[in-house]
Amino acid sequence: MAVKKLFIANRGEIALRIVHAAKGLGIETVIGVSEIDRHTQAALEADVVVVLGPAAAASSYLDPKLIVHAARETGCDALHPGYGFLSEKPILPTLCEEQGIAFVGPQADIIDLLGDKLQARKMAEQAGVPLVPGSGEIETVQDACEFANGIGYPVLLKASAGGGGRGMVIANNEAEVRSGFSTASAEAQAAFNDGRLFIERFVPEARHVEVQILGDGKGKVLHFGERDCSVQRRYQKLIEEAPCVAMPEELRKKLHSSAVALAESVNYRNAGTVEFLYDVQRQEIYFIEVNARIQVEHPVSECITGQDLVQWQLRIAGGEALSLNQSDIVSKGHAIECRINAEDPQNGFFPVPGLVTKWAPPKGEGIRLDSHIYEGAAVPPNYDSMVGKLIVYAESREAAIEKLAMAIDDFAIEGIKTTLPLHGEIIRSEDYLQNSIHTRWLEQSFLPGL
Amino acid sequence: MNTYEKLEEIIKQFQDGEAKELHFKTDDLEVYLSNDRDGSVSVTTPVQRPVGSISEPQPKSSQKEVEKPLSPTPAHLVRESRQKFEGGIEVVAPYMGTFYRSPKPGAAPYVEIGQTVAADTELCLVEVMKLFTAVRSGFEGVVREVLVEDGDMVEVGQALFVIEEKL
Repeated sequence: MAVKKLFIANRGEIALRIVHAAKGLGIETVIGVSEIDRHTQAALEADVVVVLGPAAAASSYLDPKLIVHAARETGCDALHPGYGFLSEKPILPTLCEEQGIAFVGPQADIIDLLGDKLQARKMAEQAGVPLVPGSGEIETVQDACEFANGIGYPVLLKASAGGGGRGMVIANNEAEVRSGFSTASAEAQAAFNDGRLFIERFVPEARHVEVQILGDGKGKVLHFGERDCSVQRRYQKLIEEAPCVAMPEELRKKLHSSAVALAESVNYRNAGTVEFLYDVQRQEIYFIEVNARIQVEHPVSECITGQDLVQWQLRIAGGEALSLNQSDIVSKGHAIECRINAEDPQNGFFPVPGLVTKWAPPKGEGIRLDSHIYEGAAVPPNYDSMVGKLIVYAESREAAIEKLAMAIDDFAIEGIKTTLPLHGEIIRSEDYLQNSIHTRWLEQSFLPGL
Repeated sequence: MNTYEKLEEIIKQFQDGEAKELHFKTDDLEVYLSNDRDGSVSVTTPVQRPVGSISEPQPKSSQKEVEKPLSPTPAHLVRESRQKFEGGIEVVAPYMGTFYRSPKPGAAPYVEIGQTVAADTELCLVEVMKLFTAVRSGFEGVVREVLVEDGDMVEVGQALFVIEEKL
């Protein structure tokens, strides 16, 4: 049954994005907010506002029982979790199901399965999706050398029980494997009381590419092309673009089919993203993980395909089958998104909450702004620092960069510091223009050179 | 009883009693206590140690006994000493954010009252926009007061703990 009344269990720009998508489909909206979010743009535009609790997320946006209770009491027949918060916690779809509320996302058991890295890896392997070449448990230095010689250098010696970089050694040749083996094993033994090791290929300069998928839970899975999110700082994406023009067509096809095969193997329902490392030197892709929700950077895929992914999410949650075919989804042009964070890049990207005294975004063809901020809006210290996403769309990457540079220059923000000026510098840098970046480029080369 | 327990006992008796002033001196310690007009109590221990923490109005007669700090505690970590625990140093919030006493919900607090802490012992977390920063005292001492409730929003410079510096 088509969704009639939707509960939005999120805040910020994505809550507003969901309100707009729902309105476009004639769906009534109810938003659950914390006390300090009563006057946010999404609350102003939603049909009904429910105050969940105090500002602390644990007592509002992160309380699944409270949220599902509010959805039920307001007569909602569906619930959209957005991203972050409870979006990938199986408890939310479980509680929704108990109350007969359609969850806008995959089933609880699928979220659970994909959330476990080892299980997801096993699943990917079964679906024929390429993984980073790695060994099983390695017992002797001799075995380690043989395996490393076989897959090629550099390699990573990793603790089976590892985490947080402990018990991890990078080896560039056989001699380093020999010396690193005992070091890593001793470190692992000391840290985890378990000295077992395995070996994985180390990709020093990888790009992050990911495939947007939609499944209807009725056997159909489609992909909406890939995104390149290689501009990262501490594993947080700063700039995302679509398509990944650095990837040759053949590999791109393999990327798409791998993502679809993985999703098909679990009869995936709703929106998801399959993330990969792209080893540019070797021209290979390796599966990382699946994000079982809509992602921050979905707008770039919408720009190049002309599809409204959030509306599709709501339609699928309402039981609709995907009426599109893969051949209907044609990628055209180039889109780039900048995440505007209320952070001070000159002070170690320290978050700076505050009052936005001026907010004058650029306007024009091919410029899209997904943001909940308005002049006079408060950016509270309680939540994520993202205040919006500036997205440009043009016929080519070069044209998109040019448009983005102008859009950034035209964007006046006062009252809070943001990462927007830094974005302007990144996209004008030679490496970015040449598209010769990788996931550690920003931290290793760009930021130290500022 | 060690020296500090003795001192505590003396102060307590002084506060409970009716005396206006008390001055006593031993080989390694000199104490001047005074009940001034607004009822607050001042304590000075003119030994070689930072006295940046002591900012209550000093009685005139003891002014000359207060020595210059040798290595002052960083100004942002020091605020006026409070009445509840005299002579302690307040550890303040480095920025606005949410105060957490434990590393994660349900876990034991980083520190308890009475606990001895080193300069680099983590006392709490302050979170702003999902960025968590551990707060440390920067000196060795004993936790005497916890001034904020777990989960409270704190302002920059707001006192979080009172710590008695260990000499």
